Amino acid sequence: MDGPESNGRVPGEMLSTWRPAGGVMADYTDADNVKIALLELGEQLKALVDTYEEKPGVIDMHVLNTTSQAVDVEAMIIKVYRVMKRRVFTDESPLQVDTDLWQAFREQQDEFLEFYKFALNAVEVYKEVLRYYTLVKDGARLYPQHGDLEGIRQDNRAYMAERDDCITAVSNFSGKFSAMLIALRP
Amino acid sequence: MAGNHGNVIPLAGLAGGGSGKLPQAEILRTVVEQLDQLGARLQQFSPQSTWPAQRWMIASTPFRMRLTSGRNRLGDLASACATGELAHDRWALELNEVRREAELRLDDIVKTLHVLLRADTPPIERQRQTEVFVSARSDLLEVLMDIRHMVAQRLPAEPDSN
Repeated sequence: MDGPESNGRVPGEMLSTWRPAGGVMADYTDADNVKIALLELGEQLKALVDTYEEKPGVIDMHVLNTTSQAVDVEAMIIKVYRVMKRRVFTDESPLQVDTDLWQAFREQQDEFLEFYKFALNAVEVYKEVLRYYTLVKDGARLYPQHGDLEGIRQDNRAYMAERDDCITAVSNFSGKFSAMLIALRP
Repeated sequence: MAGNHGNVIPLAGLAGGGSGKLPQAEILRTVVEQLDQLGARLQQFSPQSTWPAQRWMIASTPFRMRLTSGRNRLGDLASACATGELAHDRWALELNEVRREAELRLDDIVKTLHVLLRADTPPIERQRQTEVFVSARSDLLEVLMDIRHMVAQRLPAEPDSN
């Protein structure tokens, strides 16, 4: 995983003197690693959303993952979910060293999952719409007929509306995740 | 309450602890620190009556994540005010009153948020609850400030870390 271990830090190495408030004295290494991983994921996800808000068409590449370089937005969302599920919401979470913090995250679990499902569903729906739209557009390009224009215009509107919904859902998921991460900052 | 500033009487019972527990001064410092953070999270967003439920969920997340610890710290404050020499201290009784007030204002905010976080709340009710929220927030911030001032009156100065 591209967490703190791949960040030039030796696994198990203690971080600086920063300690979460309200915690008990314990080995903070695992907890800090989780925090760093979460903050990195938050930044990556926010960067994706910023890109989509600046140029919505970019999400098409990311949804269909047409090039090997493209970021798969669906994979990114699932990655965030998995880290939260395996490292934060679990009873074995290293964040348990700070009882208040861990409890605060657990209280947000249901809401986080709602945002996650909403974003994932929106990406799946948009992926289907985009595939269909691409086929229709290519068909119209190969065999153009009189009167196609109105149909293309309607398809285009439907496609863009679905894209907007998808970006909004991903943006909301990112917003919820980022808002939760504020709790990690002193 | 805040007007008693010139009347600083450090609490005798706040200097030390005993039986392995945190000294009361330490408890009070933690309470103030965490209530400050709760207040800061509350101030950090500017709600609009047009916000849908999802927007409220996102914007209020940092505050809601401080809520349980904030309530716990108010509980700690209640315990601190009711133990040892503080139990019969006028200042502690007054502080406990303000603490109770803070709990009530927190309840108001939580009730309002409960309505605002529901997707099926009609727009007119949403608008009304937003106004209630803004007013309750202002009341809570004022009470938190009172707690801070009252605690500051009696806390011994923090030792120099050097």
